[in-house]
Amino acid sequence: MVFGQPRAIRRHLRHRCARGQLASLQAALGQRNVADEVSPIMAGPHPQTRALGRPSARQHSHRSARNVDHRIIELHTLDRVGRLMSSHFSYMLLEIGMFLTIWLLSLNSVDWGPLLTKQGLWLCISLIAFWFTLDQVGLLFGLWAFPAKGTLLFRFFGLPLEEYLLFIIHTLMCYMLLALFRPEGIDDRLHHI
Amino acid sequence: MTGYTIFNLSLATIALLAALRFLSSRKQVALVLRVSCTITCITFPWDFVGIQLSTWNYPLSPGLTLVSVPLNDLSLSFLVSVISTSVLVGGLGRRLGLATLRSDH
Repeated sequence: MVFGQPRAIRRHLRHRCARGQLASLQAALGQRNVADEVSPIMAGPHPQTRALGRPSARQHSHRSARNVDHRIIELHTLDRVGRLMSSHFSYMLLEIGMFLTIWLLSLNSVDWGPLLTKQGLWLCISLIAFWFTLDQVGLLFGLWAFPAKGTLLFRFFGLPLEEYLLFIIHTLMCYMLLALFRPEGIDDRLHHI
Repeated sequence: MTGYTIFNLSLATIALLAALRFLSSRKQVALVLRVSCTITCITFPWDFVGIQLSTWNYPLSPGLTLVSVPLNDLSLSFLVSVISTSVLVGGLGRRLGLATLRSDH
């Protein structure tokens, strides 16, 4: 699959086909790991066309160029689908998946009451503030970075929105797992069963 | 030694201090370690997918990696979980029924 610069690749392929350098083109494509994708181009004209008679070198070159155009459009579509999959929502989806996993595991064991008290909320806010400071230090020293393409576009203090969500989710995950692993938590689950 | 390792070492000091401050029995320590290990195990595939999708990256060298996941990331996840869980046990332990774990000290 070809990722990036489809226009430059198309220009390159047309130029090579026009000059009849199919062998070197195949080698070039092989280097890019797209030989499988473009192998129909290398196979020459369609079998039905072949039955009508062997085309001249010029006709063959034009047909190859047309095939290349067609295949390049397909590759470009694949490229766009790939980009869509790794789009701005990837981080958010990862977080939601992780949270749901823990939530489903500890469904019958968690009592949210203690966390929703004044003391519980203050603890959460303190932990979130700690996370925020930690993340800012990491960003400052270049330990990690968040490229624009993998996160949502909303940013506060250099951090994407999902990172703030992670602060909350991590605290909730710790709380849920504590509730799950405490002896009473296991008793609760057995009682529900 | 990379900057990330130094960062984690300083975080380990904070985690140790938090554990000493908030945990009062071996059972509580075992509970905190269990929660932290679980979160670290969950973090590993999550981190892998995040890196593959270019959700985050490392401008400097992140140090040793395991299947393209930096070991420092796993350490960070573990240490932050230790701190969070210790604080939660210390603050809400009685309400969560974790105070009874002290009797077996």
